[in-house]
Order: sequence, then structure tokens, then C-alpha cells
Amino acid sequence: MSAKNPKRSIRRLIAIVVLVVAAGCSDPATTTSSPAPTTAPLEHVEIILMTHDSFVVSDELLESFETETGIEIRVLPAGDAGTMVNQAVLTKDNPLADVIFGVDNSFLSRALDAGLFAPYLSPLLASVPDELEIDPRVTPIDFGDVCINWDKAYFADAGLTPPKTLFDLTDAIYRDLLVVQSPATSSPGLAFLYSTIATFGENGDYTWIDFWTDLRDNNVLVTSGWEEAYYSYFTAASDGDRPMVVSYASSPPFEVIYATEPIDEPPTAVMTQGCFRQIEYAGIVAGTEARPAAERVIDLLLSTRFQDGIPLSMFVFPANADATLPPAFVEHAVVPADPLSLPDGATEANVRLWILEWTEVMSR
Amino acid sequence: MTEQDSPNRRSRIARIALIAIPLSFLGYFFVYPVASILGISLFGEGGFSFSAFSAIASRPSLRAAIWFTVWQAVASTLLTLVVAMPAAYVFARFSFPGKSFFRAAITVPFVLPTVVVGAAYLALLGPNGPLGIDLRQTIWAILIAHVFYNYAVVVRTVGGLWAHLDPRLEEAARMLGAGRWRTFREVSLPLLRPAIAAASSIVFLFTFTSFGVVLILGGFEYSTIEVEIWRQTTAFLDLPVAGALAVLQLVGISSILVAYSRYQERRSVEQQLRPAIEVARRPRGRREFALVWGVLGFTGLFLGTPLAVLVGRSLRVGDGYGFDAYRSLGKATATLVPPAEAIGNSALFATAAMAIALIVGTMAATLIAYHRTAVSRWFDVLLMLPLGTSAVTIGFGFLVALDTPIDLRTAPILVPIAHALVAIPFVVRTEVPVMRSVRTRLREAGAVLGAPPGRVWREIDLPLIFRAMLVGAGFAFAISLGEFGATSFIARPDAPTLPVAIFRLLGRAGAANFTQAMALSTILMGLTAISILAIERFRIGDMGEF
Amino acid sequence: MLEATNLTVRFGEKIALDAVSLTVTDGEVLAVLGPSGSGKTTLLRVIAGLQAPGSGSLSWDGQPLDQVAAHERGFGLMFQDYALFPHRTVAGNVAFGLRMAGMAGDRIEERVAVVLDWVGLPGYQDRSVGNLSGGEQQRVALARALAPAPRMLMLDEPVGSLDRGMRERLVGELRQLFVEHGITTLYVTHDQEEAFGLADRIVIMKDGSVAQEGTPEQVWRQPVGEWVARFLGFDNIIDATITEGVAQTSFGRFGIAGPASGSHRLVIRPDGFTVAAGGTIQGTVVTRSFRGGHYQLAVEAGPGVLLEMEIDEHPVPAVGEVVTLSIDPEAVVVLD
Repeated sequence: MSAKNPKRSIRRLIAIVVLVVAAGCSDPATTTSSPAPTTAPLEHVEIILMTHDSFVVSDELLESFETETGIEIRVLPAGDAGTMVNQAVLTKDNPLADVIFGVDNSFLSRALDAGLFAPYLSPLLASVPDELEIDPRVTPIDFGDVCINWDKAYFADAGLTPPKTLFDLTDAIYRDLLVVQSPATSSPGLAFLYSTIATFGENGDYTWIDFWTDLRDNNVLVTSGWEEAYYSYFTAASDGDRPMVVSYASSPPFEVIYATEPIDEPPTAVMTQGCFRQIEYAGIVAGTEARPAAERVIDLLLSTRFQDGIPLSMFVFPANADATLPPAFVEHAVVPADPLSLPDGATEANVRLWILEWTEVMSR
Repeated sequence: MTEQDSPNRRSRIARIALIAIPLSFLGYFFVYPVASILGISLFGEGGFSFSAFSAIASRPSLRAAIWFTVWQAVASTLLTLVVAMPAAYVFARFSFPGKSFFRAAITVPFVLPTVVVGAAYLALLGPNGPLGIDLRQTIWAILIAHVFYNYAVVVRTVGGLWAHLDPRLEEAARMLGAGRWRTFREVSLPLLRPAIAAASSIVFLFTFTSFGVVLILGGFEYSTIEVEIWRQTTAFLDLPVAGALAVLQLVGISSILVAYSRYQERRSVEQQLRPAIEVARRPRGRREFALVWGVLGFTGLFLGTPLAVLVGRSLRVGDGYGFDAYRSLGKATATLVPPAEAIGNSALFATAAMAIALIVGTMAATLIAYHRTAVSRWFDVLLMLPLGTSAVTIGFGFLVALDTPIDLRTAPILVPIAHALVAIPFVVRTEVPVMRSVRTRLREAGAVLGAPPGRVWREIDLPLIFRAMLVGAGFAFAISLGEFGATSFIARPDAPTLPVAIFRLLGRAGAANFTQAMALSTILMGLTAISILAIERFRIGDMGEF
Repeated sequence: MLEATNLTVRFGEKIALDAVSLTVTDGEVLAVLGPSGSGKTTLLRVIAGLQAPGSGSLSWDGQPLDQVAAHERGFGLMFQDYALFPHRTVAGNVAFGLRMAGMAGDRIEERVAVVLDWVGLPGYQDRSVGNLSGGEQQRVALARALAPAPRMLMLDEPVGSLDRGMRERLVGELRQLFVEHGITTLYVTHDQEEAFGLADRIVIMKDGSVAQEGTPEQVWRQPVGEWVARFLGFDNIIDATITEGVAQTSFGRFGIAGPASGSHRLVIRPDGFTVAAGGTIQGTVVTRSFRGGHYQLAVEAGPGVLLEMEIDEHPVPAVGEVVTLSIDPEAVVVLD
């Protein structure tokens, strides 16, 4: 080898950087391309769709949509839901995107107050249940329920009856059995806190604080995130020792679909009481220059061709009632009859106080 | 030690470029965005007020987070130094079969996403783990994981210098009647101080801004400033308090860095380094064999067990074992892009990040090592700041600052740039001590033999610091491969990297998703080990092992 | 020809070079001689371009050098500690300057072989510099400095760290090399024997300035002051009153050459004494040591007066013997 080698490799590195920089600078991400020549049947428009990191869409769908409409959707993941909403609010004056998807009811009032969205009523809303619709500025796309999941095998082996209600969880027979997530650091954790507040209320003989005090005395385990609660402590999914976990109503069908070896029945079940409903919305960014195309994108998100894929891609339920659920969902998923919710705006106004109070109870 | 004050024009231009390029890179991609977001956070409609700071002072949970941040960082740094020092010695002074493989392997933990390591540790530190005691959600879990993550930083930074220390100095001390321990304390330790200080400063910054480890292993009761910034921003949407916390974090980090830099200025000794190959030798005698294999055994167990847990989990199929998870990686399902694609994305981003970090970092290191002025000292501190700045602050800073003159907010290059910001300090930290140890005399010899300053750098400094550059490049590549924090706060093209893909898989119920996540983690581990191994193997015949 | 005019360098309060002027003519070997701290190395570094002078100027053949960077001056410099590149072989070190000059690869190889031959290291090309002995390293450093055929070669205490025998042999070889190849040389040393053995001309430096300049013989015969005399090893320094070619001292009278008169300090060179019956000085031998070609005696000529001398004729007086000495007038130097 000669001494020329480092030189060559340095040149190569420089070349890579230059290429990447050039690619970065020439990135057309935020410029809406000019109309195609009039001879073309379709105007080519680019729409930037800002989403949270859990959003998934198939390339085939995007491609066929572009062929049909001339609209090219560029997906821009921007962190978890909270991060994404903050990014959108911070860049309000010079928006990054034309359409935003994934604002859930916890963050909705923040987004609406900031004036992020322009009203749009999709014709497809006719197929969406009324209780999902909150505001004309946003369109409900999907919903999911945060519920207690329990390990069927564990309860069968222990000869234990699974709990029916939130209050049951404070029973001494369920001591050491539940793992939940901190509402300060986890989205399902926060939803679960909301469900306890909605159930027990802030005033009266037995408030949500009393409930959490009892839960604490019953040795509930709190983790920071869903991942460690489910994959490190929940008996049905790990070597852990907690047979009950705060998770989603859609988790059991996922256990069937994504089993390592084919199974007929999910190893877990859902406690249908005390579930809190999270609804995810999409909206057209106020001031977008491609308004008509943005409307088409909202329609796409609400159309059955996208909605049919929602259960398997994002493990929530489609908002469009006409969507076809996959067989595993039909068979194993539970949609709680009367999910809990809190009044509009109540969550954001009180979340800091509630988490503070919760932390005080749990740290005692 | 001053560089010759030649009035040569070209060298002056080169020097200006040397200052201007890294400074403008850091200015535009770090100082400007961070200042912008802090400005927006703290100077609300009513102008600047201290209310956010007094809010912090009045909240016990925030005060506790600040105190916890400081003491766990100090404890983690000391513990890492103590635990990793024997390995630094063994790697520097002895040659043994498989050494280069071992050296690459210990770097693997450094890049693994915390969400993955956390899963392994929760299994190991549970009541059914090998220790038999439940350390989950205790401070010990956090400290052990911090040592696990930063082991390589100490072994490589301290060992890197140790490998070049003239063993005759120690022999001289032994001849003068000093025992092994005295020799270490009075000869080796003082000579190693620059490297120890460098390693400590990095470990301190890393643990000071610890995020995932604290969240996953500490449970809900432990919280660092970094965690609080994230919580205040994303859960409470409270930019003023997040901004004030970010300022406190920056102040804390800066004061440590300034102290470090002062120390380094005072302490640095010009040493005559020797080729590592002449320093390292095979162990002799029973004691040395016991030492070498004992240290290697401990290192293997300590670092290897969690990794083995990951590999084991990636092979689970029902109640048995198999390669199903790996076989399914290439398949695009209706739900996800093929996870295998993430490998390509990661490699591309990591290469770009490594190139940026190496170029900017080497220029910066040259500046810091050779032009010892107040400016270069401050520059040194500035370079380290991104390590101690919360990912939220940087990510949001990009968003609010980088829209003019060119809108870079969603440009793909931002991801490697963010990675490079984190990697540059590693490049600088590994290069500066070696650069400073290159004797001025050699450069002068080059100059009088007719080499212009640039050529002197290329022909004399470069070969001598080349190994340090390789180590720095390895770190940069590995850091970028595993980086997740900063990435997740950047609006970016839909090209998931390995950690992002792992995170997505782990966010879903279903055993297959979990084993796939573990399989991808195993691949990330292997990729890291292979790339570091490859980079270290790259040698130039002419220069010998230096 | 190198001309240095009024070179001045300060390090903070300390003056390292104080208005030093000197010239080195083509083909000449100039030795800069002085004790450590006298500014020799600083002078070398200023001439090499490694250190900028605070004031003063440098020129080569009338062309100013002040704006010329070190690497463009075309001077060779051999460092005191050799500063061999540890990452290169012997050939790699020697070839360095040739590559900088843009010489073609095969010619470099030839030249390296030639120069290694000059310094007595033929066939050493592929050796690693880490494994060489001190003398071999010194030769490699010399070969490296010589290889690009610098228009002037500068050497900073090049044999300082070698043992005595090696040093003497190398000094001889160096002289031969410089003369044979007509190399203009600036040689820095603290050792007067080395300087006398090598140089065409000597510049003696004291505290950053030139104390004396001349051929070795001039300097030897006529040191300009007590400090130079002592530095050259002349310890017989005495007060005398001179009248008409005769010096009167506390221990006797003797004749001197030259026109001086009045009160002066004198140096009597150690080679100027003869043990002779008709001598004017009497004293007792205090020490006697054999130095190869001659004996070194210390003779107490009076209270507190100790004369150092070199005696090479026989019989040599023994310690304790009272001797009568005569002094060669040519060996007596009148200071100031």
C-alpha cells in the first residue's frame, strides 16, 4: 500500500459530503412545483403530509393516488404526536407541510388554538360516526381505546377471576399484578390517568386521587413507557411478572397476527370497562397554497382504500364505518361499548396539575 | 510552542479557513438554532422575564431533577473510570489473540438505542436475572447501564494514549524502587491525565444528559434535566420552562467544560510517543496472564451478557428457537417498509455524518491543538456543547432557525448534520491529545526540508494522528448508526434508520414484532462491530502501527 | 552568502538575541560557539525561518529573506535531538526533502543511496529509525538534511549527545564532508574543541550578542575579553602592570609581545609555559595529570595564584616539586 490511500479515501469522503449536501440543498421538499404544461391531463402537485412517527402508508397506495390525481404525497415524520404538534405550532408562520395527520384529542385544543388548521368538511364524513367529529377544522381518521390487558394463561393457572372494573384493581387479590405507564412520559399512561379521572371524578367521597392511592398501596408498578411495561414486565409478552398491563384494545388481535408461530386465540384479553378513547385527526394547514390538492389528500385518508389498512398498520380502528376490518380484528378486537372521555379542552387545561397530583400520590 | 510566524500568505489563508469552516458550521447548525429556540422560549410576548426560572425554583420535582442530574453524572463518571481502567491498561499494554476484534466489540454497546438495551437490562436486573436481586427502577440500574454504555469511551480514549506511553518511563520508576501501584500513581496516571480528563468530560456529558436509560431503567421516579425538557415540551407544551431548563443545562455543561479546558491547557505535556506495536507485548508469567484474561473475561461478561440476551430474544419462535425473525426482515408487509431497507438508510446517513464529523472535527482539532489562544479554548468548549444540549432543543432550533436563506428544515442532510454535531466532539477529543503530542520539532524539521504548512500537516501530523482519526471516524460512524434522540425531533424524509425501525416495531404488540426488533438490534450490533473493525484494519504500509 | 543584520529576539522580558549581525560566505564553515542560553539555537531558528525576529533583517545573496517562509528558504537544518520522523523508515526520512522538492521517484532513490553512502550508512534504507543507535540516528539526521542539497546547512549541536570517541571521529568526518562537497555550513556548538576542529571561522556568543568573531586561530590567539578567555578554557587570568614590554605581577615579571602599557589584565595560555632553569617565575606543583600528548599541571606561584599549564617536555616535575618557569611572550594576551 502506498501513502496515497488516505488521500484517496479522504477525497471519497469529501465527494460523499458534497453529494449529500447538494442533495440536501436541492431538496424540493417545501416548494410546491409549478403547474405542469397544459397538455398534461393532470396537474402535478406535491403535498407534504406531516405525521407522527407511527404513521405508515404503503408505497403502492401513494403511487396509484399520484397516477390518478397527479398529487404526489411526501410523508414527513416529525417525532411523536406531542413533538409533531409542537413543531407545527413553532413553524406556523412558515409551515413545513400542507396536511398534518396524527393530532389526537390530548393535543387538539393546542393545535386549534394556535390556528394551525383551516376548516374542511370532507364528503366522506357521512360515513364517520358523529361522536368522533369534534370540530370542522379537523377530520377524524382513526381511533383507539386504551384499556387494561390481561394474560389469559396466568389468570387460568392462578384460578383468578380477571377484574371487571377499574375499582376492582384495588382489590388485594390483584396485588403486585398490574403494570401501568407514567402519565408524565407515556401517551397510553396519560390516557389511563384520564380514564381514572373520568371514572372517579375530582370531587366526592372517592376521587381519582383516592383510587390511585389504593392502587399504589396495592403495589402497582409504574414504568416510563409502554415498551418496557409490555415487553419487560407483562407476563404474556415477556419474562416479567405482571399479568395486567395498560395497553390498547387492539393489542390482542396483534398478538394473533404477529405471533411467531400461528395461533388461533390471542394469549391476552381486554377489560372492556374503564377504557379511554384516543381519536386521531388530520387537518389542512391554514394558508397552504395547494388547498384543492390538500382536500383530496384528506379525502384519501378518509377513503376506505386507506382506512382498510389502518388496523394493521397503526393498530387502531378506522374512523370510516364503511372500512373493512381484517378478519383477526373482527374476531379478536374489542370495541368498548361506552369508552370514557373528558370534556373538550379539559385535558389540556388541567394536565399539568393532574400529573403533578398524580406524581405526589405515587412518590409518597 | 507557537507556530512559526511566517508571513506566508497561503498559510494565513489556510489558517483562516481552519477557523472559519468549523466555526461557521457550528455557528449555523448549533449556536444559531439553539439561540433562536431559546429566544422564542424565553422572550415571549412580554419580553424576557425570569418567571420561567422562578417556576423551576418553586417546583420540587424540577429541583430534584436538577440535583439528580448532577450527582448521578458524577457518580456514573467515577464508576465508569474505575471499572474501565483495567481494560484500558490491558488493551494498551498487552497483545493477545483477537485483540482488534475485542476492541471493536466493546464499542458496540455505545451505539445501541437505549430502548433495546433497556429491555435486556430489565431482564438481567430482574429477580430472575443472574444477580438474583431486583435492581429494576433503582439508581443501581441506571449506574450500571451508564457504565455499560461508556465503557468503550474510557478504554479507547485512555487506552489510546496509554498504548503510546513509553514503557521505559514506568521501568525507570520501578528501578527507582517504586512498586506497581506507586508507579501507576506517580508516573502513568499523571501522564495519562489528559486522556482521563478527556474521557471523563465525555462520559460526564453523556450521563448528564442521560435520557433513555433514566426513563426505562429508573422508572417514573428518576428524572434528569434532559427528561424534564422533553416532558415540559411535548407533554405540557411549556416552552418557557423547557427553555429555562435548557439554559440551566447549558450553563452546567459549559462550566464543566470550561474547567476541563483550563485544566487541559495547564496540564498538557509534550510527550515522546512510541508506536503502539512496540509498547504492547504478550503477557508473561502467571500474574500477567491472570490479569489479561481476568479483565477480558469481566469485559466479556459485563458487556456481552446484555448483548447475548438481545441475540437470544431475536431467535425465539414460540417456545423454541429459529431464524424466522431474520427471514422476515426483507419482506415488505402491508404495514411497514421492509426493515432491511432501514439498514441501507442507516449506512448512508452514518457515512455522511462520519465524513462531516471527520472533516469539521479534524479542522477544529488542528485549530485547538496548534493555536493555543483564548479563542481556540472557547472554541473547544463550544464544540462540546452539542453533546450536552438536549435533543429537543437542537431539533426545535433547526425548525425555527433554518428556513432562510435556504429552507433546510426538512432537508435530508439535517439528519447527518445533527449526528455530526454529536460526533465531532469525539473526533476532536481523540485527535487533540495525539496532535499535541506530536513534537513541534518534527513539524519544524518538515518545514526546513521544504514542506509548506499544509504539506507538513499532511506528511507529518496526518500519519502520526491517523490512528486517532480512525478511532474518531469509527466513533462518528457508530454514533450516527445508533443515534435516535436528535433524529426523532427532526422533521425528516420518510427513510427510517435502524433505530427508528426498531422503535416502530417495539411500539406494537405481537411477539413477532418484538423478535424482529431484537433481530434488527442484533444486526445493528453486528454492523457496528464490522464497520469499526474495518475502519481499524485500514492501515498504511509506510507509517507502521501508530 | 547569508547576511544577518541586527537580529533581535525577545521572549517577554528576556532578550534572546541582541542585535546580532553575521555573514556566512559561500563554501564556508562558520561555527557559532557559546554556552547554553547564549542565543545560539535562537539564532539558528531565526535564520531557518522557524522563529520571526523582533527586528533586524536577513538576506541571501542580497535578496531579503524576511518574507520567505521556512520551507522556501532552501536551508537544511539538523536538530539537536535529530527529530527523525518516527513513522518513516531511514529512506523515508532521507527522501522527505527530495519529495518536497518534487524530485522523481527513481532519482530520489539514487540520491538517498548516495547520501547514505556519504554518512556511512549504505544499505540502511529500509531500517526503522526507532531501532538505530544514537550515532546512526545522528547520521540519518545529517543525511536527511544534506539530501536536498541545501544552499546552506545548519547543524544544532549535532554531536552533543554522542560519546567522546564517536564525537571526535564524527567531527573529523563532518569537516571532510563539508569541504569535499563545498557545503556552506552554520554549525552551532558549545564545545570549543569541536568548533576549532571544524570551522573556517568562529562566532562566539554571549548573552544573545556576538562576543568575538574570527578564524579559530585568531580567536585562540587573541580572545577579546576575560569572559571569552575563560569560556575558551584559559583560566590563567591575572592583573599586571606593563612597562616597556615587561609585565609586573604579584608573583614575578615576564616579557610580553605588543605595545600595551599601564595596568591590564592578562591571559597566559596554558601552552605558553616552559620548565626552564632561567625562568622568572617560581612555584610549587599542586596537581599533575596525564592528558595523552601532554601533562596538565597546576602550579601555585604565590598566595592564591594558581597557574594552569600544559607541559610536554621531559622530565615532568612531580607534585610538591618546586619549579622555575619561563613564559613565552607570544602566549600572553593583554585583555582590554
